[in-house]
Amino acid sequence: MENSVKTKINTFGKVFRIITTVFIVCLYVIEGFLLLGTVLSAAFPKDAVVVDVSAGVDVKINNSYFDIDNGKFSAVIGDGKLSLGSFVSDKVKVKADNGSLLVNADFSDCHFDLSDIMMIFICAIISVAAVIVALYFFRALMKRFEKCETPFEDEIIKKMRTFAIALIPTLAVSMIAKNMIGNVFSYAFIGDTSISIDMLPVAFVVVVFVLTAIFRYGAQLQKEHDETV
Amino acid sequence: MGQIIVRLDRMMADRKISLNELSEKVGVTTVNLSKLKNGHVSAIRFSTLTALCSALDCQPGDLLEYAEDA
Repeated sequence: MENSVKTKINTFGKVFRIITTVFIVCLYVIEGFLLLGTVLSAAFPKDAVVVDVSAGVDVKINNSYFDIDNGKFSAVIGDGKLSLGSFVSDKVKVKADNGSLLVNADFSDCHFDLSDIMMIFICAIISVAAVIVALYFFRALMKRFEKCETPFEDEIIKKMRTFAIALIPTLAVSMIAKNMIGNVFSYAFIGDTSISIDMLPVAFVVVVFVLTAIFRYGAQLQKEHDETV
Repeated sequence: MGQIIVRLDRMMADRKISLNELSEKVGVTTVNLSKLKNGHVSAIRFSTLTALCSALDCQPGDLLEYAEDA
């Protein structure tokens, strides 16, 4: 391999190792604050801090601009509650009035106490811890890039595969924690919970696995090249 | 399946040439020539084979031999 290419790969590894280390340190600081928040929220009675949210939204769809037929909205309106498939909310009122559709979302009665806040802290701690673990594996990979003679070597493939595998539980834990945090809010606001899956992190894991396979093939070619005189 | 055996050591002994001398003539490092001599390579380039045949004044068949597995 050309020396300049090797130097570039080594520099790439060094830069990303340093960036990852900075990220890890920042995440440790965030983790510390989250732990502090959890301890503080556990130390006080749950009604020591209560957050009341007063908010409301009124939406009126005017029939003079849209062709609204009351019959078409009967499924959405239900018994005056928002009803979209299996989703029914008590806090979002919908009614048809003279051809117009009136939507009123009243969140004035939702409040969070310390137990809800502690739940959010715990989920955030778990989520951040999972990311830190994945970053450690990534840093080990970058460290290897920093010292390698060629990127197509067995040690790099092993570390890349370990990182890809480590991303799966990280992704799962982060997603569960994120959904739990989201559900604390959505239950308070709309009285319902839901599960959402982010496709971008899933695609990232798939890309890392594909890269591992490509690098494995590269290592095979490198071995053949090295064994040819 | 059988295997290809490199008879470089025999040809070098016949021509009374050392590894260093051959390395200079062929333009291949002594490390790689040593690997070739001891059968620690999986492939050989035509250019290397040509240079070896030229330096040792022999045919590819004198350097390579096919042997069935025992």
